[in-house]
Amino acid sequence: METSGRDGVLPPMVVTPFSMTPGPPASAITWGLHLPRARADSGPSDLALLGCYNNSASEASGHGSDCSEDPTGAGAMRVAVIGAGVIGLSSALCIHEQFHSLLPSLQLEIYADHFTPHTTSDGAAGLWQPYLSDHGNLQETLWNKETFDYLLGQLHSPAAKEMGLFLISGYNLFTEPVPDPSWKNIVLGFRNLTPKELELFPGYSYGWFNTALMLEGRSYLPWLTNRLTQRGVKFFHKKVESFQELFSQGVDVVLNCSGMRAGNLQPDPELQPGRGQIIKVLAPWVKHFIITHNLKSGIYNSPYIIPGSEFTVLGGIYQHGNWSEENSAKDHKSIWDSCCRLLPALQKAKIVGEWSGLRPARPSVRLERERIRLGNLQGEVIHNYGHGGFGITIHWGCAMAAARLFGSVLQDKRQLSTPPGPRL
Amino acid sequence: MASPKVAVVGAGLIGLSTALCITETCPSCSVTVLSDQFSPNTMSDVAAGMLIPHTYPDTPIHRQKQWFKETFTYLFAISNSAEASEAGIHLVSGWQVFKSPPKEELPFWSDIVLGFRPMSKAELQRFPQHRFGQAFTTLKCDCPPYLLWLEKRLKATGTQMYTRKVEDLWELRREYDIVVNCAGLGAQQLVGDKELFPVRGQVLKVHAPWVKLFIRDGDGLTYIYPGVHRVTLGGTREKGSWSLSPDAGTTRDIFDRCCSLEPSLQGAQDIEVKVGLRPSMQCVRVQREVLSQGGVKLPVVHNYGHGAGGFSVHRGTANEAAHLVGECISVLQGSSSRAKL
Repeated sequence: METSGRDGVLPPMVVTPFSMTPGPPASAITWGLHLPRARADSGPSDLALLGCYNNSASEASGHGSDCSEDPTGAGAMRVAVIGAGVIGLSSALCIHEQFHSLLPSLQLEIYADHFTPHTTSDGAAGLWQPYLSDHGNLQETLWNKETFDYLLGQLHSPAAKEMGLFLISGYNLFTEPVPDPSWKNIVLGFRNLTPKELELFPGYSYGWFNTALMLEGRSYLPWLTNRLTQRGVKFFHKKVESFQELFSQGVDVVLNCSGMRAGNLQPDPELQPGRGQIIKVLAPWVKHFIITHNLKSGIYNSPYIIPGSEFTVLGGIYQHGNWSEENSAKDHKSIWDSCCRLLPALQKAKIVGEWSGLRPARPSVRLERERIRLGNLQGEVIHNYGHGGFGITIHWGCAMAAARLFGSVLQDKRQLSTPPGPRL
Repeated sequence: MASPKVAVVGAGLIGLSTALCITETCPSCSVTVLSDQFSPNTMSDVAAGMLIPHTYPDTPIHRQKQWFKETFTYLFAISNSAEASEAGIHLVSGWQVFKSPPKEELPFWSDIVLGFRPMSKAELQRFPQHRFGQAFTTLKCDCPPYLLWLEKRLKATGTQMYTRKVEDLWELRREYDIVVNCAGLGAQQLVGDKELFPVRGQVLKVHAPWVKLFIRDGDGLTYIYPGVHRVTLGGTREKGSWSLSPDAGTTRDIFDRCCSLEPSLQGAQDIEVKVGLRPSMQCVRVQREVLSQGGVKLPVVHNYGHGAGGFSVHRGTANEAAHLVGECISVLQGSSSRAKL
């Protein structure tokens, strides 16, 4: 059993895994709510009527076979999030923010085998930037935009520093002209590079300049953890082996934010590792991100330099299908040589670390509901994984979408007559 | 004259860069730098070192532009080389924001800095009190690193440097053939220039490594300049004040003004307060003069009075001063060959 010291930030309420307790079938969810049907002129004040009453069994009506008595009397709505990376933590926060006042019995639990600073999200530099092309996936572009706008709105809040959030400008470099990216109007001040600027980067003849955001996982994940802990969300240091395991313990809804390991919970051949390796250096004179692109080698297989608040990340490795999380000497040399060619002053930079991680790559993000039935066990799973190398970039849009899916789950369970959350 | 002996008075930015230019344009010269202060105790060490020109009212614009262009080009090459980190030279992007319309839509230097353009509406939204803005990328010279790097380059050429307070240029006549006056504010006493006056500037140097962009209010009073290790927050422009003591009320005021532009600065740590006196004049004095006393002549090249814009034009004025030193040498060599006849 790994201790919290090795596995990073664990909030105070860590509970060791418990064995399955005998009790009512997991499908028993007693709500006993009597809710007014939604009226056309329903407004925010109507939401106040949607209070959830535990144990008012007298009002239970017409729930059919889903309804059976709950002898424990808890009537809790248990939601388990699998994964404590940026996706798991932000989805949990979003759901708690939107539903806890409507559902006082909401019990949110986070299960993970790794916590910050040992998650994939912690290894990422934290730069907000989607891939070059969205391949027509407008939904993902919208989620990226929602994330950027949300973060931009947080920039001037007192929380920004603690979140690890700040503005950063920089360069994207190409060896030939390319079409503008889907995100050109999302970032600030997007423009093409001038000939004088291109002089800085011999070998590159085209490029972009824009101002974007950094959201450093090393700060953001602890910040999310603190917000969740304050809200009474419980954390469990446990490697979940199956959805059934949670349902049989009385969990009602599972949020599958397991990233690279989603395949262990449910086979998904579309989910493949996009292995990356980075070198951390001290180069505080570098104030811009510099991302080069080689259209033939593919995304992130060309050197990039991303200055953070404490160190600068050098990278340029993307190996599809490689599961190794060991640092490779060959990759180290490739990153070092190519980045020093890009910025000669880096030769004097001190190396302070190295890290390899697996981007949970998928042709598109899996963000959808699934009703799982196994014997007499059933439960709802909301999948939210497969964010590749743009997890931080897209996380909040996905968290809000997951929250909307959760709302629809509640609606199906007739918990709420209208889904809460922002009215679009 | 085989090896003209040149004394450069002053070891701030102007003295060191002028000395270096002289060694480059006149390799046969023997150059000595004399100053009562060296880095990190010069006035230049207080400055943020941003390449954003100050406009001198009485210097023709084309000349200021030429100085800036030469300086920018010179530093651009260093920033792009392996020496960048040692020299403390780095590119930095950011915004200049205005509450009321700027005097000129396009300042004379807009085509020299990189990517100059008006700020977009979305960018301006970050500054609710400001209605106009310019975005661009420029260079910053961090001090002490840049000055120490200049000193290192000078030592490599054999230039000697001595701590010495020069009270009068004439005291150098016996040891040196030409004197270069880069004494900054000291020129007021050294050559009695009454046009020269201090403009006091107080700054805070803070630890806030997440600040990657500069922000400057177009009125020149409030600015946030991220350097290699520290962010310089400013400032003040107190004309005629000679006080080098930090003022606590001013510190609070600078901090508040900067936080209103960049709220995350509330979390800044390790605040160091510094004061500098900008050696200001209506124009920069880059000029050759021959002092005369009892039949004895002393060729002098002046290079002082850069006020708020020293870093932006230093290399350009140093080049010009070195050129003037060359002229002095020609004159001396001409008269010495005449003397031989």
